[in-house]
Amino acid sequence: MLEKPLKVPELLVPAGSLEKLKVAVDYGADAIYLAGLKFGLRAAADNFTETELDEGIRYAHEREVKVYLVLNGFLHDKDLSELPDFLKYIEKIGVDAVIVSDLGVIETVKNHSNLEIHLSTQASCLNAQSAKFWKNFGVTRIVVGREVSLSEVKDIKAKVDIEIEMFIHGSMCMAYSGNCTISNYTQGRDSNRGGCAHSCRFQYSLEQNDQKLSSFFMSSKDLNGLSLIEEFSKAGVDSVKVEGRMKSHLYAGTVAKVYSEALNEFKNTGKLEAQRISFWQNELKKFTHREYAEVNLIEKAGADTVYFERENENNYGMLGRVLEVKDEYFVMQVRHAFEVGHSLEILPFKGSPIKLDIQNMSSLTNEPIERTKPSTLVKIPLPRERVVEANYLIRGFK
Amino acid sequence: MRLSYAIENEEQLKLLNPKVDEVIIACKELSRFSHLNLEEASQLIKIAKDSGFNVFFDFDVLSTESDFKFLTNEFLKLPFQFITAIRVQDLGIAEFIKSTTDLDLHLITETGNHNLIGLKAYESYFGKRVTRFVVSSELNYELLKSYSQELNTPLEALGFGRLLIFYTPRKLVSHYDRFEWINEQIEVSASSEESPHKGFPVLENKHGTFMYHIKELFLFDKMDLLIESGLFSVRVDLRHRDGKLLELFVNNIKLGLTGPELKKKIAPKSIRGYFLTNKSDVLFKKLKNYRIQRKDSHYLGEVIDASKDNYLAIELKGSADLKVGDEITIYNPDGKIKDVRIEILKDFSGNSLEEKKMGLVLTKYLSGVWVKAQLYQKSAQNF
Ligand code: SF4
Repeated sequence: MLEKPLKVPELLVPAGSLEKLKVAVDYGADAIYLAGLKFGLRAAADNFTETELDEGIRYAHEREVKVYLVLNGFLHDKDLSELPDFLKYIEKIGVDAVIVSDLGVIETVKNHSNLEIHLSTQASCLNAQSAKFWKNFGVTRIVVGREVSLSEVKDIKAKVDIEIEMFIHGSMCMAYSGNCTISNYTQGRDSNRGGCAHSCRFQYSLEQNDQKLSSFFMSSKDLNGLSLIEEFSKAGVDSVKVEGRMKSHLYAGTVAKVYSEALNEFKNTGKLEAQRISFWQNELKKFTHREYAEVNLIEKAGADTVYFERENENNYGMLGRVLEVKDEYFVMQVRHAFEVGHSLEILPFKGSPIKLDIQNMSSLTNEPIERTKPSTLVKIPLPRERVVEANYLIRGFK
Repeated sequence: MRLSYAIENEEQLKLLNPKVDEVIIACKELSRFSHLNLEEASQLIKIAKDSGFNVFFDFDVLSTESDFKFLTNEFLKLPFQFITAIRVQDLGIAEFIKSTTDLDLHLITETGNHNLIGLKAYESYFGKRVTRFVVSSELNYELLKSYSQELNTPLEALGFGRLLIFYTPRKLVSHYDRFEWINEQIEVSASSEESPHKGFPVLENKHGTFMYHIKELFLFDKMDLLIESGLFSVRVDLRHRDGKLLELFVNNIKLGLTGPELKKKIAPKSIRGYFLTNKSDVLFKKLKNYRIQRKDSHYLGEVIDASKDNYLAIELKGSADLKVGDEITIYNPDGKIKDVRIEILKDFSGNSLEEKKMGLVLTKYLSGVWVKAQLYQKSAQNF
């Protein structure tokens, strides 16, 4: 234990829905980013209605977690006309900052609110001069482009007095953010207003004269910067960001838990043991993901950061969550089926996973059940040695 | 309306008229696309200037902090005295040019600038140093027209050439060593079964990998609308083609040819992109099931289990109480709506309740109500 804890970056986790916000907060996020129904970049995510926003912000603030709202679509004039009323609303309910990628939105935010402004990675801010430009417009934090390395962040911080947020985990846009309009021209969906169809994940046949090959040539591996937490800290990064508003509850819970544990351990001890890193890395494999890489964090991303396969569902994943705990049993909301004899893991908010061997279970009306069905509730006897709380996630082989 | 031509040699220059045409010159070190090195570009810049042209230079790559010094040092080697303006997308580079040179800026706002407020903010920040906005091909002619009227800065848009749809600094092609480099770049054609479009030109050079639309953008058949849009300049960039097409285009434009005839002759397989209309946000409505989306303050909660003939399990999430005797409306994920009266409420241990606020509760099973159905107090307006 260090006498004086080190300064470590804030952990910023995505929430694609109110439920996911609660998961991310419960599992240790310092801040959450989310979107309202409009103006963001994930048109297919559930996103938050105004009442959900209100509830989500209350839930987070009661637990001292900040909430940033993304307004990071490249908005057209007609979208902007609807923005001022929404800004007034989100300011009133206490959003801590907005994440914005275009100058028109920045000007609108400044003209209609006193909200703090963070620049989205979508604006591809890659150098100190560019950071200065945005600072002149009142931006207080820059989410640097994913192409920027940790040593470059250190240089930018030395030249410009501004907060820096940097991606540490998740899927990667292969293009310079904001510089891909494949979906616009092939699917009629504006990728910069939330309509990306992930055309970079497709398998392509590449041809030049009589040479031909087939490959996922423009598909990126996922970012994983867990082993570089010390470097993030030393570079002066103010906030580490996890990608994935469209990802699962288990993803939100696991990344929040792993990264908050790792950041706290580094904060209090000044080091991360290899054994601990390996444990956490293993945890980060327990949901669907692509092969991991450090991509641009240390050096410019090379061919080894391309993911030459089709993404497959991980067969290890979320089976459900604890809904209610009684003296002898808990009620589980089942997402994926499992049966008596299976071994499950309960993911507590803090501490190591709890092993749960299913010996028997029953319906709410106490009928014995051999195999569960998705979207049902079951009663499961409590494991003896560990405390189980409502909203713990449960995972296992699907 | 002027025409700005991206050119790479004197022959192309000779086709043009300095009274009405302008030229754009680029180099491999500083530009996304060029066959010229810095020295060759510098010579061509001088020749173009001596021939009476306004010369614009493309410093249009994006730069991370570690490349910044190298790129800006290279840039400082250019013969500024012959250059009218620098075309730039990276705002850091724009800041650098503003603070270290007297050169005018043509700000490339093709990505991420689709509103007037933003363009006006650039205008007031850069002041007289910005003498042109290179605007996005996603803006239709009506918007261009209103922007031309509202802004003091002249506008330029692509009128004929490749549409860049993807730009990454990662080298995505060269590691397959079977493809041939020509003049420091590799070009392949990419097709996917998963996309209805086949044959995307993909180009890799020292700055990364670029993907273009399978068809060129061609707007000159709509010359009347181009003029009406108020664009100060329309760009023609055929550097990826052999010189004959440029010659054919210039000659036909000189002859005053336009409309479908010009298109047929010059660019029969081209597209107009979003020039006439942009509806790239209309499909968003189809991406979500709005029926399972929580709507208003009358919200009660969601069905989380429907056990046939036994119970409906409900997770109460809204701020309102649910009481025995309440009239509620259930919105099913399939769109069906049911009005019902709550007859019983129980907790998960089977104890009867009179009312419940937030949390979990059981009520009587209702056929045709599914998991994820949303519950509202009956006074809620329909949606
Ligand atoms: S298709 Fe790929 S590169 Fe393009 S915006 Fe989507 S994720 Fe990014």
